Amino acid sequence: MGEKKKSGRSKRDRGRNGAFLLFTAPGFFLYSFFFIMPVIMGIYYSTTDWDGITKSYNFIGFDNYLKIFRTGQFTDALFFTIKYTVLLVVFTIVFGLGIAMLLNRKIKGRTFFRGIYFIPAVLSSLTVGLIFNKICYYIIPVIGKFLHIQAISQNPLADKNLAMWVILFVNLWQGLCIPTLLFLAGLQSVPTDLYDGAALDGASAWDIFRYITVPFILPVVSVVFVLTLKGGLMVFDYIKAMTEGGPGNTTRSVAMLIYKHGFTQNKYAFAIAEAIFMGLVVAAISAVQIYFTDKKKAV
Amino acid sequence: MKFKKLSVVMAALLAASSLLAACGGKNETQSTPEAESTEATEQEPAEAESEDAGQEDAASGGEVTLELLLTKSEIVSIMEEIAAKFCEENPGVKIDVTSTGDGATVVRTRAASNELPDIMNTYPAEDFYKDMFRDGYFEDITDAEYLSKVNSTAMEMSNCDGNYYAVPMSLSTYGIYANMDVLGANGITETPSTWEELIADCETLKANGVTAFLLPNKDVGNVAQRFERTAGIINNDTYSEFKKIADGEMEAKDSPTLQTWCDYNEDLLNYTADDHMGMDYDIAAAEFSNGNGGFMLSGTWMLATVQKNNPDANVELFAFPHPRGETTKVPVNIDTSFSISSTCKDKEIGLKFLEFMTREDIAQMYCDADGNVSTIEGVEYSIPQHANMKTAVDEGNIFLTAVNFWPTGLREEIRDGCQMFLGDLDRDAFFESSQEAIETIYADN
Repeated sequence: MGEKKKSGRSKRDRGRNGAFLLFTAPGFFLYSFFFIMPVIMGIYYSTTDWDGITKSYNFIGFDNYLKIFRTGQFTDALFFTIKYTVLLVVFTIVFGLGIAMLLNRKIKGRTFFRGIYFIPAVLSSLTVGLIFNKICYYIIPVIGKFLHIQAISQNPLADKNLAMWVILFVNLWQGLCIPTLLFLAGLQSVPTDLYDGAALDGASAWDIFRYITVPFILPVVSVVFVLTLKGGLMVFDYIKAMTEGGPGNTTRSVAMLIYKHGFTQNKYAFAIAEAIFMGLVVAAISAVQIYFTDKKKAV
Repeated sequence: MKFKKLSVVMAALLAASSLLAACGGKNETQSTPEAESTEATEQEPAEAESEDAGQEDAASGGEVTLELLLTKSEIVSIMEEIAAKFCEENPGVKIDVTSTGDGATVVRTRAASNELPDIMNTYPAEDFYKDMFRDGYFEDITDAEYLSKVNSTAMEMSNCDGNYYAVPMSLSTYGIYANMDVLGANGITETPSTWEELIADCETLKANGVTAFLLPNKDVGNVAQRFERTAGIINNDTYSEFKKIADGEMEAKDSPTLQTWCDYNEDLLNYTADDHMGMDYDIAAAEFSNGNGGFMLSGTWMLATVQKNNPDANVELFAFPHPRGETTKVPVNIDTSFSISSTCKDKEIGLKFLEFMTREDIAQMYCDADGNVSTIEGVEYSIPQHANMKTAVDEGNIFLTAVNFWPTGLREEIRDGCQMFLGDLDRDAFFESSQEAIETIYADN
């Protein structure tokens, strides 16, 4: 009897597994064709001397990988990218959460402000970059001169100490919208009776935030962290539109460097090798992040 | 546990592959209103139409649509006019004019996907295009009769291993634009012919509170071009000089060309706008056109932009005087040239279009709008703003600009150091970055 039941179940399981497989197949094949295949092709091309145009090329093994650190360009770009990403992640979480908490209050015109804060998200990052490029030349210096602030009396994008901060500001101006929305959704999921209870128990605002709000929005923080991390490590559009990596190479991210080598210097295979190396760096960072997120969830 | 580990690895790889996949280039072209034959029918041929199908259509009186891609935005309107004229004379043919501001990237990505436009403007003297010619991306037109109408200097410059793949229409020349109204208002009646005269004029303008020289130093592409053109003027054979640096026979800090480049820029920076490091090419060109600057380094292609910004602008282009007082030669480059791709939908029509471009009246029409010196026989070059350049070309006082000889990528590698120097005037850092750039690029090529 027991055996019969078992075989009946395994038959049903097999049928169910077959259906799962069928439903997974289109996604799997599409993903393999459009994602995995290009990655494998990329790895193959990175071992050649292909310039992106000629039909013939030679297999050169790992020469391209060995060349990555021949000059300090990649290290400089990597250092810039990591610095930029850390700042972007920190500011996105702090300001995103701050704005979301303000918008979650019962203030007048709350819907209006929620709409206003979301407007930049509908613009393309390249357009935003080009707009701020003009603002930095035509408007900022005028304000700087009027207020007698030497640092911004000239185009701040031309200042090697300020350029990164301007790019970061523009990125935040546009990039905060989605995280703010996510935080807002997270805040609204916190049961209000918990707040009421804590208030009755005499908890301070900080305690309420620390022990009620934070645990509830932690999954959202994790999502925002991953999204921003990815955005920071791959930053390209804003830099291309605003500084092209300049002045000199002070705002050159790894993505900009890869673009420069691949598209302006015809070193296509070398650029792919750099991209793969950067991919491994991102993989390592992601692995660490996923490990810690999982640990936190287990707690 | 194992599954958990595996999922961590998989998720990490996923994140990594998303970065790799994101490295593909975008292929964005702007389609301008089509130049269409007045007799053209409404019938739209399919995008992926085969060559045979295209010819069949033309033969049977159907409509053939060829794409004409322009990587020079300033010639779009005149090419639309010319394309419309061609369509008028060739019923059943439609030329779809498209343009892009990022030529090399678009051409590269389209070549990679085997979707090159039917007709496009190429730069036959540049290595990038020569490699494509050798690889068979474009039609060999060596035997075309109409090539005999092209000036021999231009033909020599566009020769690729004894063959021709492009019809050179014009030569661009590089020098200094002078806004004659600004100069005149400050008592300067003639363009300078020596470096000392140029500096004296700048002094006069500066003393009168006028920005003498517009240097768009935020635009790293412009900085690179200025470096390449003027380094070539300082030494017509920079390739050999830089080769010595690459081979360890000379150090960048001892290079006469690099030293002179630093010297002259230090001079000019005394007379430029305060915010020169924050200025883009477009902004500088607009300021120059509107009389907010006396001089600006550029090539013959800038005239169209100047006239667009200010139709009344009174400008003149003159040769960049050698900063060390040696003989000045004018750098030239093959500018607009037209080629047809080997995947052209209708090669017969494509070749006909190339022939059409060399027709005297069409070449004249193009030359009048483009502003560059025409290479087509019989075309009168009557652009007073470029009279000095025409004389230089006629007298042979020219040289093919360095970018055609430099190893691929040198201009883009060295430009960061140039831009930094223009900002901080740190010569040691400039020589160091130049040394590294030259060594790296010569080793790679």
